[in-house]
Amino acid sequence: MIDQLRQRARELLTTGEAACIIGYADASVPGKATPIVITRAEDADRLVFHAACCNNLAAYLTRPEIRKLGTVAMVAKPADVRAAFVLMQENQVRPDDVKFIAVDVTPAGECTLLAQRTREELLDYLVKNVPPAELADDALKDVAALEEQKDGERWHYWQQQFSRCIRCYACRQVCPLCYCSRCVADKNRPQWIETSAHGRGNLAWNITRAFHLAGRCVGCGECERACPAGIPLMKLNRKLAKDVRDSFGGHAAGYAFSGEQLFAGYSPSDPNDFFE
Amino acid sequence: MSRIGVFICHCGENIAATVDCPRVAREAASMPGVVHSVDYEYLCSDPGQSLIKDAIREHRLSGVVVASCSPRMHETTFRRAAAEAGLNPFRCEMANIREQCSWVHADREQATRKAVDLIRMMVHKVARNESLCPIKVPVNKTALVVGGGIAGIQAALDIANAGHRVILVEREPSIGGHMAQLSETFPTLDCSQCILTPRMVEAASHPNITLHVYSEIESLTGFIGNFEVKIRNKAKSVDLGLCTGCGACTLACPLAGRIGNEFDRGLGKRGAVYIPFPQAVPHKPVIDRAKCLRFQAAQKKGIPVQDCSVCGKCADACPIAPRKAIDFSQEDVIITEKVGAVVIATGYELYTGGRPRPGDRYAGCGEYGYDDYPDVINGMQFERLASASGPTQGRILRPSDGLEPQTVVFVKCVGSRDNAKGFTYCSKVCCMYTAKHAMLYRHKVHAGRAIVFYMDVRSPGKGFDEFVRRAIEDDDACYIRGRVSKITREGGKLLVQGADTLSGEQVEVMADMVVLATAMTARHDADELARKFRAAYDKDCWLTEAHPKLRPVESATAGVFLAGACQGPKDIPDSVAQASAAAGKVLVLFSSDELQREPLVARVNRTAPPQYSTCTGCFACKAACPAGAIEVEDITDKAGNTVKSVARVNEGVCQGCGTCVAACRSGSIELCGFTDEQVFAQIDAL
Amino acid sequence: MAEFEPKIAAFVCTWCTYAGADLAGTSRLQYASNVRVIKLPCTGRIDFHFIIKAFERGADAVLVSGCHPGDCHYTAGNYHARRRWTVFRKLLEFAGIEPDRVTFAWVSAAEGAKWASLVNEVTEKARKLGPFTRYQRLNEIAEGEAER
Repeated sequence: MIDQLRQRARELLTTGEAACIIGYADASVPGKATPIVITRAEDADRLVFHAACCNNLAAYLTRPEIRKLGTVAMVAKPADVRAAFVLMQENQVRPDDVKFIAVDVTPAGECTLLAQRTREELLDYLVKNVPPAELADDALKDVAALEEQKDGERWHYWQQQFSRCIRCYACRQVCPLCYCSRCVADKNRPQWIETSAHGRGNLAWNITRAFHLAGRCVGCGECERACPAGIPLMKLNRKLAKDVRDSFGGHAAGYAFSGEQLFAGYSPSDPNDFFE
Repeated sequence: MSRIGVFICHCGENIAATVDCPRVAREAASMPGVVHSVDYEYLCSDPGQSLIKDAIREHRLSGVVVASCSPRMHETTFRRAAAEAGLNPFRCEMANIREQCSWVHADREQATRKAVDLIRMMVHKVARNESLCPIKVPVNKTALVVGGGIAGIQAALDIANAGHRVILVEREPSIGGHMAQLSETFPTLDCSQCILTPRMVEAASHPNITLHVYSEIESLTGFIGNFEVKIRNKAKSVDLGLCTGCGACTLACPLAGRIGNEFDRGLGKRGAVYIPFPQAVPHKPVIDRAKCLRFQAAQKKGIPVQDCSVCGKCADACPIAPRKAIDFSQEDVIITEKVGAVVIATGYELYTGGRPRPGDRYAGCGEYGYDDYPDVINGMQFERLASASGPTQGRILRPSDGLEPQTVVFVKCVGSRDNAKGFTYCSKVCCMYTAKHAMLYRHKVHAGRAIVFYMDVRSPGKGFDEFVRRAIEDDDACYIRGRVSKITREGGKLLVQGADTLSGEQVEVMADMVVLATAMTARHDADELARKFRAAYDKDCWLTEAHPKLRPVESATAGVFLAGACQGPKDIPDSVAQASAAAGKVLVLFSSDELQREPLVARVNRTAPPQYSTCTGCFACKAACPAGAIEVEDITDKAGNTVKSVARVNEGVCQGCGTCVAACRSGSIELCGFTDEQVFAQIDAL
Repeated sequence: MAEFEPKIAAFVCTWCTYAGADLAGTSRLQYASNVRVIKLPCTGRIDFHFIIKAFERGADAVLVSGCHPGDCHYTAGNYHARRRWTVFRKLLEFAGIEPDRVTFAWVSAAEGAKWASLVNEVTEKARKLGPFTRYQRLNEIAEGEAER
């Protein structure tokens, strides 16, 4: 599989179809992988793909230095493809500027290179074969468990979790949908979100990030993986993904590369029962 | 640094009775940024305003908080006063310590404490207010009038006579609207056509009025002073430039006299090519393609109509040479015009009186037999019978056998004032026209009996009550207070079963004809039209005015005005008055070359290159904006290459709602007058 | 001991709810004095940050109110607001904030009586819940007055 992947990368670069490939290479730590950007066909041999390739490479699509290069080909797992589609919907990348070297890992752990290449083919593949991971029944079990607790217990739980937050923003940095060049957390006139790492500021930060991702999170889980303090961030994201699905006719992020963003629109039949 | 002045109004006893104003003034004096704090009896009075102006000058105030009534009362007053004293008016804010404090809390301590809190929040806000300047937009002095009934004609004439160009768009082949269908009008009984047709001719021939008949509005975009309208000229199949209106084609049509005429509400007949009524303006025919034999045959065969050889007698009969005025190949044409103001005068429809049809908004009154018995007719059909140029040349004749009815029952409130099955409102004109119908009938059939079943008699206008009394006293119309429960046919007559509540008895009348005074309704597509114009409408689809008492001819959208029955049931005098009022508003708008808009609009931030703006170009704001005020701005480098695409607000269109601000994740867009800093400051001061 | 008086922040739209509150005043309807109104042009302008910041600044409850769906002065601002609140209120609840501390309402310019009874209702709800000690504790920690 890896030979085919490298061959595809070589072809894309030599034909000029892509100016660079964003993929994975072996990291300095054995068994781990690191993101890599190559621009020369001979470097294609450095590309790898295995179960430890966890980074969501769509995060690099919005980097100014990558954008300058023009067309980009990215090694993309299904969640990464979804992320790229959301970026297209939000005008962050031009659809024609992104080529996909789509890959997947079977439940048995086998790495495959997908035959689908174009966005239309990949969209079709996703819709037919890849339901949103964040909405899988297993995935929602812990969300349900938390929902069943009393609000006091939930508050205590999240305060415990957020108390460990050091405001390193690793979660934001690895997330492909957190692409704002000036994050609202860095806005200080006025300062809606305090930068200090205490309970009050941390709650504001984590609520803000979760809400800003509602309807946009593709469930790659990188935020939780990257968090040095082990905060279960995906619990928040899965919860909101579920509420968005249930409130807005089954909406899930990344299953379209054009069309209206969820909170840019509305429906006259949106839920209304919580209003006095 | 801020130098804020706080002015607390007693409003006589209205505030001072509950709020301890001197104490509030003392507490305000120590709020951050406050350099001057006083209380006074009546701040909105001349001496009160002078107090504020003097203080602005004397203490070099950079901001003013007036704690008094609701800003909805006097914000304009105090902002003007501030401007006169040299302080930018948007640096003046009000704290509502009357409607939302002294008038609603009895406890003096609580009310005073709340007043202090409200003032403190405003002091914090005002410290972050910026000087704002009104936005100027140019005004295109052409008006669009939609609807060519009496209201539309009146508005068009008023605006045109003032020297401005008017585009008048009418959906039917002729202007005139419903008034053209009426016989005589109350309370004078003068002939409707006689007073209307001169206006119709004037409107059609006025040098400043461009008339589009058989046309509809396709779309309206833009904003006050700067609208762009697309008008669809529907294909008439007649070249208006060549046609002389001789009518030969209408006589030659094989379907002449076979199709129910809309103008006569089905009582009269027309052909597929027809002039809607003898006094039509323009007096030119159109072809009803849904009925025309040639068009129908072409559609069935799937061939273009020019290749179809079915019929075509109208073209044969046309005397124009060398090219006929009949043009089967004509297609719809979309015309684009730029206008500065719009008057909607699309009028009303009438509930027929029978059972509901698909898409109807009501449950209907099947019990009156309208759909079953040809001699049960509605008020408009009676107008056509009474009309001298109508299908019976003005004679009141039964549709079933053409005989003169000797007993006519008039039923009022059919569909109106009906919570259960119809419309909840009163249709306003029916009491008057029913009295009129009874009189006309009695004038034409001297031995006839006119019986009116009524709930109330509403005749409030000038000469109106006298008119109804004439019907009862001079023309012997018999008024029975009670409703009709059912109408059935017995032999050749109609059995009308009702009640007389004043005597407490059941009443049965054997009538020859029944006339139902049916509800006036909004047009079936009024909501669609309203959405095109961004006008609001109520549950009955009447277009909503900006304020029910004080702004009856303005819609929710600036620059779009309402005239006539589209805004609610009304008679001809009121429609004409409203049309002239709307025209007046348009002329106010056109009286200057530039329009000043309040600068409380949104703004996307700009920063230094290479960022240019913190806006990420996601354009969630553009999609969310209800007014369509946000555009894409391509920021280019010196070589002309697009470096970044960001959002830009068109301050001529922006209505200042702030939806974009809350939609923006990166916090890159602000709403002047309600910036994040200002709101933060108010929350901070809680 | 004095009865607990909750502090309530209300974010309302100018054209409907603020006008409705004014109408309650002109009608001299009496209601609880715990609410501090912040007037905005439209509910569409209301950012979720306002609610969080209100709690941070000591509000025990928050009220958000605007024009009924279909009646928005700007035609659609309240629809956008409604969509946001549908999700945001669930997030707040999930984070452990009692749902009764945030109330959403539609109050028109004609509904002075509704405003008055809404204020009373929200005040009572907040009184029953008691002071928002959870946020007060966060404030104490932030200001160094208490241990985590």
